[in-house]
Amino acid sequence: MSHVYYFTIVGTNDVPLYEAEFGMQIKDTSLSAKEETRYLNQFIAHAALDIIDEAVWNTTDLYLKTLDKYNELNVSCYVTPSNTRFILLHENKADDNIKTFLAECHEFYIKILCNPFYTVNTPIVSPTFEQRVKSLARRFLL
Amino acid sequence: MAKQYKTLGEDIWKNRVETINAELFIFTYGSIVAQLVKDFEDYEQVNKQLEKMGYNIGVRLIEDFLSRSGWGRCTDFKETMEVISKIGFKMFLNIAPTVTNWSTDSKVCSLILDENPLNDFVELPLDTQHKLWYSNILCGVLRGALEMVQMQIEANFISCVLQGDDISEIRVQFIRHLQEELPNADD
Amino acid sequence: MIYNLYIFDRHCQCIFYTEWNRNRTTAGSRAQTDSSSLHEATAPYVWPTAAVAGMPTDARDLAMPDETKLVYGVVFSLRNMVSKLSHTKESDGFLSYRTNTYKLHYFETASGLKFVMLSDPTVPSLRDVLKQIYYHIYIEYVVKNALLPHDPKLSYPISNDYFRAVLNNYIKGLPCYQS
Repeated sequence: MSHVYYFTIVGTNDVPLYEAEFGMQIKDTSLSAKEETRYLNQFIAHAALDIIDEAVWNTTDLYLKTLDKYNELNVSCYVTPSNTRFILLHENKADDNIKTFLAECHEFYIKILCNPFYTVNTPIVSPTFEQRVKSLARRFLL
Repeated sequence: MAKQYKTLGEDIWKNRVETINAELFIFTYGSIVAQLVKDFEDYEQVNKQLEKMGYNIGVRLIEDFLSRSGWGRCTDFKETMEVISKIGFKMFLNIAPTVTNWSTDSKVCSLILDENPLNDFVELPLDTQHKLWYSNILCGVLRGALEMVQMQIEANFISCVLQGDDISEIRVQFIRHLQEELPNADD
Repeated sequence: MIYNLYIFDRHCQCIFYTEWNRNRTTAGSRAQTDSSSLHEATAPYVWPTAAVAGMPTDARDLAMPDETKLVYGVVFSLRNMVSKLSHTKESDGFLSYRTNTYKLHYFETASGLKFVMLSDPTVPSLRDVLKQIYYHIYIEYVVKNALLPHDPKLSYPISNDYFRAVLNNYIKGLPCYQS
């Protein structure tokens, strides 16, 4: 069975740096419905930011587990020490795969930071990063 | 002969070179290039500036090279290129580019950089396609260093893995031997 | 005994001169063996950057610029003659020549710097000393000093105090310095 995922990276000034959806094509009923879920996902992720801000003080782990729930969507989060937030919306229960996915994304994010042409807190447009995240998603999520 | 250069290069790298943290080096160079791109907003200009900076490094670096390697004069351009690759590049960057594609008159050849530490982590902005030669500083270093040993050359990148090419290649062209200056006639 | 050191750059210019144990007036021509009358300044005379310090220029037979030109002319011609006479292509120039009053030691780098040192005739080869000066003093304190200008098209007299001090200590530490 397949699930729907929405993944976003939020910079330190609460601006999204990167967005991706996985497994969406299954629910491809109509275009407008797809657009609608997209906005809704962004809304849910955005709403989670406040909860994340509080939750980071309760643990030394970078992975904060599932913090919020909206209808059938779980919100899991991973926060880097520099307060960049990786948020994943998913329907199934959070498991080790999700944790690994987020941790690996962190690795790739560090590589992005190492690129002299990337400025912190700007949108990530690198095609390599896109590819890597997609293949991670295939490995761990879909 | 070529084997002898290689052994010497490796020996120098192991015993006579102080090393620094690679990331520090890579980030230093990276931030220089990124800043130049920001300041000039023109990749041609950035290439030029990098080449100039390289030249200024090269004219000093050659002295360090000569002292560390104890190498004297080379007999011809072919030997020079081998020494640069096997000893020079090895000593300063721990790589040994392949010298190949010699022209029939032995005046033009290519340095193929199988690896290039400067490139680590780097992803070029999408609009640079074949305009920005990220490691262009190397061309300047070659020109500066060789000028100090009385060889005028020109070096240019013609392909680079960062631009999506299969290999990184610097084309080096020998132009002429510089004449030693003579004392003024009034002596 | 070591008398003096000349360093010439690629443009035939003397970029550094200094002397020790020297109270005669021209390069080596009238060296006195009596060391008791030696001029012992703590900071030796250097040229061209500190021409006012040390020995007054009128105590010389030749003004400093003429003297350096003369020395350059000598080693330049001698070097060329020697390499013309040599059978192999790889000639390293000459090592030294000797008169009854002094010995001239010579070392030339691939980058065109020429180091010339004068000593008394009994001193063994100072080629390694000149190499040491190039490798460990000139390169360390002049070439690697990023703030010193280094345009290969121009001549820059060495004005670096560290260079002078280290050189002075090194030379004074040599066994042949004052023997």
